[in-house]
Formats: sequence, structure tokens, C-alpha cells
Amino acid sequence: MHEKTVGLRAALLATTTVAMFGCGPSPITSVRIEAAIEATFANLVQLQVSMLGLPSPPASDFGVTASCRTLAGRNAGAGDWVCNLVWLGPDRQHLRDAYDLFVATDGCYTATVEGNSLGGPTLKTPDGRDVRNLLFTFEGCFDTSS
Amino acid sequence: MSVRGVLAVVGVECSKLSAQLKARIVLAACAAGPFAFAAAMRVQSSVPSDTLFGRAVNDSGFAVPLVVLGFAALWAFPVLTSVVGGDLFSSEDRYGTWSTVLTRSRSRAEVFAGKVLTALGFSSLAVTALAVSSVAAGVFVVGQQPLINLSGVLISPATALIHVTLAWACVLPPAFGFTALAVLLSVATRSSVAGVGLPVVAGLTMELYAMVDGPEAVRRVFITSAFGTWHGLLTEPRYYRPLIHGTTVSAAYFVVCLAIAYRVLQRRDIGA
Amino acid sequence: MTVTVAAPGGTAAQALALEAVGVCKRYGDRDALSDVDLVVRPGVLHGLLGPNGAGKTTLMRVLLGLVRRDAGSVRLLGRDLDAAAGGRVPHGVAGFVETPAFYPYLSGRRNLALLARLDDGPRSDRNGKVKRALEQVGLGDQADVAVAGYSAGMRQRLGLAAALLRAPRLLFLDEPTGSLDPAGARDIRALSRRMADEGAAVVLSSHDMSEVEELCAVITVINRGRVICSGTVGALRTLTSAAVHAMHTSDDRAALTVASGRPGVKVKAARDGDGGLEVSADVNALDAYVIALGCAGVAVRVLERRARSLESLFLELTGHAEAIGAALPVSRDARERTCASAVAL
Repeated sequence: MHEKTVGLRAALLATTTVAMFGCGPSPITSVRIEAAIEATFANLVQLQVSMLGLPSPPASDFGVTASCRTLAGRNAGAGDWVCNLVWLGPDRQHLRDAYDLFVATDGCYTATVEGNSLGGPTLKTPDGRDVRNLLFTFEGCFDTSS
Repeated sequence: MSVRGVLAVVGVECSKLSAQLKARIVLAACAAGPFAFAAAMRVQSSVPSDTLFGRAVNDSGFAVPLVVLGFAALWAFPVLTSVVGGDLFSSEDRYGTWSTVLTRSRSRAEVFAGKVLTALGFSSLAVTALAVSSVAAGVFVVGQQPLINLSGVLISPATALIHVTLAWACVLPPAFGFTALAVLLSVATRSSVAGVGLPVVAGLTMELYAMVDGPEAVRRVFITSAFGTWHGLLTEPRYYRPLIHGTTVSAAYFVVCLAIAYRVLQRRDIGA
Repeated sequence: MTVTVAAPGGTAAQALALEAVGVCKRYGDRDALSDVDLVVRPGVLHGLLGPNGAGKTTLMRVLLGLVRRDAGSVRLLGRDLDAAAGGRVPHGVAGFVETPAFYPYLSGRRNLALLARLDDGPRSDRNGKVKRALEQVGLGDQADVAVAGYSAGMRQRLGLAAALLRAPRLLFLDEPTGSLDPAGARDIRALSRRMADEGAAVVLSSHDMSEVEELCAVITVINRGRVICSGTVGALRTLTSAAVHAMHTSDDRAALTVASGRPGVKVKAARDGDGGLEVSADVNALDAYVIALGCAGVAVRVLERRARSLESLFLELTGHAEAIGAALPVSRDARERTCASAVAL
């Protein structure tokens, strides 16, 4: 009998804790995704360029701006998203790329480029080697509690 | 309750474990599994694209332990932590040996503490074995190339090794929480089937829930969320709030489950 | 007449090995034990008797700390046993309840070695102690076989060996010879007696009346959770107030008629299949009755004195249990049970 009351008290404590955390809106917001994907994309562009043997400026020089929405047009919630990235290429040209994202509830996402404006899954280096195209599909994570 | 008494119980439990096949099988699987996985990745052309760092397994050996970490959260950790913890107490019921064990010089508190420590020790050993062998598998089968982290930054092999080690360390608190859950089920149900099986089912259920976009508050009290807190260590800048939160939730599971289990054991009439 | 507990081995001033007073245990709406007292002195083999379900095993579990008692106090070797079942079994106390269980995947020796590690006591020569305990119970050559292959008798011996490892001064044995063959049972009885002779107090529960009568110096009879009777074997035997004789006559019916007129003589048909009569009378009344039978023309063919065994006393006591429960005052002050009134009912 006593074990039951102890167990009930523990369950009550757990539910009140949950209630305290609140049943608020989803922590997967466009603001967080945009901040994460901007930084990651810029870093990957810099890395890719240097892996191809070309001189690469620092990541911030690429001036990446992202604008993300869910497939249904909302700005919060886990699942499928579309992000439009606007950035400055190595020759200072304005580039625009669209990525399909799947964002999981833990704040980790996988982004795959739409179309082949950035090349296919693999790229050829100047000396003929095949390297993985880091910008074709990439992944990242962000803090859902920030 | 004395430390010497508890250690005596730990010694006895370890002797019993080493005489049973299951502990050795589990540890052997932890040691061999990652090597089998890394070799398979080398041989086949496709890579696990649904796990973080899956695409990088052929680029850097340090991606292998992180992929294993991702897989293990779904299947391996609940099994590893309950295979011993969920059986230590209910095996005495299965063999009818509670009255044999409790008519020696050790109090129930000492027996409880000794068994719990043994379960936690096994969980640590299993997690460590899996970590070490997956790092070794990655390094020997793929190599020590630099790793691209979750913010697209290339990190040196030495830094990658440190981050991988820390990532595996982040998994210990929820592993201990699962062990405590298995202990509670073992004590309360007196059945090893429930003690080992229910935590696995619970883990799977929680993971499945996490895939669905349900209320965040519920997900935050699931102990399985704590298995993914290492992500924040591999981004730039690093973020630690999920880790702190996950460790707190794991500690809560740990304390509550063990407190209830202890109470149940203390008040039990043996053989009645 | 009051039966007091008198120990042949020790004096009243010697410290009691076991002192249980007023032990009660209730399961749901059933009283498994009510107001049970048990006092055992060192060097005494104390028998615990009762039919199945009487509460002997429950009492032993309470005394060993496996089951929490609802009321009462228990002192083992002078130390209080914590009411909350959770304290450790004191040093020098050992025992087993029902068929002892061990880890079937380990050998008998390994099992004992592990149990020895759970004991307080010098850590040196553990293997030697295990070996000696195994030899004492006659398991020396099967010690390295896995317990899964042990018979029930071997398990009982192993349980006794596990208890002996603790060098007990107070030993609880729950039907220790139940699964053993006669030779094995004889060895265990000899061992129990030796332990009592060496100063240990041994509490032994058994169904086997002849075993208890032969082995034990003091007996406590329990039925339906209550102590019915407690005393030395000698004292209990004296409860048979009048000697019983078996008698065969030429005319049993006439003999019954003759007896009905005589106040000091009780005659009834013998219960066993032999036929004949049972005569309860003291010497003088018996003499007068035999002479009266001769005068009435009834010849006495067999007249044989029969000792009333404890078994018949036991059956009668436990059969009258409910009447006893109603008749006796159940008060805390009445520490000694009035067995004579129980018999008289």
C-alpha cells in the first residue's frame, strides 16, 4: 500500500514539473533555423572552396542570409522546411539557392539543395580527384532552448 | 550500512555476473559491433544518411563513433543498461535466493546499494566499451582525418578525439537513469522479463514520440532526450543548455526510481 | 498444574539465546501469529511443533528478520532485532527456512564461498571454512557439482553447511531432515545434538514427532498462530495423568459394564485395529478392577501397560486448539501456558 502512495506522489511531482515547463509553442522557429543555417552554410562554402584548392576568404565575407518557412508556410514546428539562401559568391556575384530541410524535434536538421546550381553530390578537384560536395547535402544542429 | 559491507556485496555480484554468459556476450558485442559496422561501411557503397555524421563515415574515422552514438540511443543504450540492472534483483526471486542472501551479515540497505553499484558499473563498462571500440574502429578502418562538425567547421583530429570522448561522456547520465529505471522495474515486478524488457519498450516509445511533433514539455521529461545532448558540443559556438537539462532529468529519474525501489525492498516480507 | 520452561543445559541466570515476546503477524484479515512467546537457552535443542500452516515457518521468518512483525519484541543473543525487516542478522545467528535455495549455475562450494563473503568475520581461511562445513554435512565429494544437479536432500545439507559457516550460537532449522534419507537424517540429527552440546541454542521445527521427542529437550507446540503448549519433554510426558493399558478379555462388553460402575477407571474400545480395550486407571483402581472382572466371570487374557506417546498428546492438543483459544485468558501477563487445562478439555 505504502509503495503505491509513494509512486503516486512521484507521478504527481512529474506532472507538475511538466506543467511548469509549459505547453508552449514549438521551439523549432524560423529565427533559430535561419541563424544556424547561415553560419553553417558560410563555413561549408569556405571549406569547400579551400578543398577545391582555391583561395578562400573568411566565412563572414560570404554574407549569407537565409529566409526559411515550413512547407505549409508557417514559421515554427518540426518537419519539412524550405530555406532560401542569398549569398555573395567568390566573384562577388549575388547567388540564390534553395534548400529543402527536414528539421527534427531535437533541433537537428538535414538540408539538401534543390536543383544542381551548386553541382551534384560529388565535385572534381583541379587535379582530377572526386570529393564529396559539402554543399549538396549537409546537416547541423541548433539549441532549441536558447 | 558500511562501505566494506557494500563492497562485499559488489564483489559477490561481480562474481555471479562473471559466471553468467550474458554479461560476456553483451560486452563482446560492444567490443566487436563497431568494427563490424565500420567494415561494412567500407565495403558497401551507400552510407547511413539518416544519422548525424552518417555521410562522413568514409571521410573521417571520427565520424564512426558519432554514428554509433546516434544508433545506440535508439536501440543499444536501453538494452545495455537494463540487461544487468533489470535482472540483478529479480534473479533472486527467480532462484528463490532472497532468504539465502538476507540471512547473512549484510543488511538490506547494503545489499541494495551493492547491487545498484554493480548495475551502474556494468552500464559504465558497456558504454565505455562501445565508445572505445567505435573510436578504435573508426581510426583503424577509416583513418584519423579531420572531421567537419555540425557547424560546417573542420576540426583537427586531436580536437575531434576530445569532442568525441566528451560526446560519449554526455551519455552516461541518461544511461544511469535508465539503469535506475530497470532496477525499479526489477524490484517492483520481481520479473526479469519486465526488468529488462520494459525499459527497452519505454525507450523505444519515448524515441518514437520524439519523432512526432508533440508538445515540447512532454519531450523534455523523457530521459531519451538526454541521449542527444552531445550535439551542442559539436557546434560552433557550443551550447550546453540541453546537456544541463538532460543531466538534470536523468538525475531526477535516478533519484526517484532508486528511492522507490529501496523503499519497496526494505518493506518487503520475504517468502510470504 | 503449570508447565514452566526448564532447560537441562543452563541455569536461569545464563543469558537467553532467544527471547521472543508477544510476536504478532497479520496478513490481511488473517492472524498468522498471535502473541507468540518463545524462549530458548544456550545449549538446548528446542523443538517447534505444529501442523501444516500452524505458523512455524512464519515465526522463523520473523525471527530471522525476513518478515516484519506487527508487534512484539525479539532479542537474538541479547541484541534487539529491529522491527523493520531490514536490519542485518546478528553475528552468531544462522538458519534456513523451507528448502534452502542457491544459485543453480554455481557449484555448492562456489555458492558457500560467496555466502561467506557476505558474512562479517575474519577473511582469512574462507576456503578452509567452506571445506570444513561441506565435510560436516557430508557434501565433500559433490561440492564441485553445479547446484542445479543437486537433489532436495543435498540442498538441505548445503543449507545447513551455509548456516554452519557462521559458527552459530543460535541456529534455526526449518524441517532440516524433511528430504533426507534415514542415514542422512540421522547424520543431521547427530550434528544438531553436537552443536547443542557445544553450547549453541538450536531451534528445530519438525512434523516428525519421534524425531522431536528423541532430539529435543524442550518443545513448543504451535497451532493456528498461537502457542498451545511449551515445556520440557519430560514435563509434557507427565501430562499423561494416568497410565494407559491395553487389555484383551473374554467378554469386552461385560468388561465395559463392570467399568461403568467404577469411578477411578476409564475404559473404552481401543482405537487401533487390534481390538480389545484401553484402560486408564492408577495402580490401585486397576487391581480392584481386574479382581472385579474375575468375580463377574470375565477372564483377562492380555494386560499390557502402554506409554502415551507425545504424538497422541500433540494431536489432542492441536485438535482442541479452538476450544483452548476461547478458554484461556489471552493476557500479556500469562507468560506460561496452562497445558493441563488444555488436556482436560
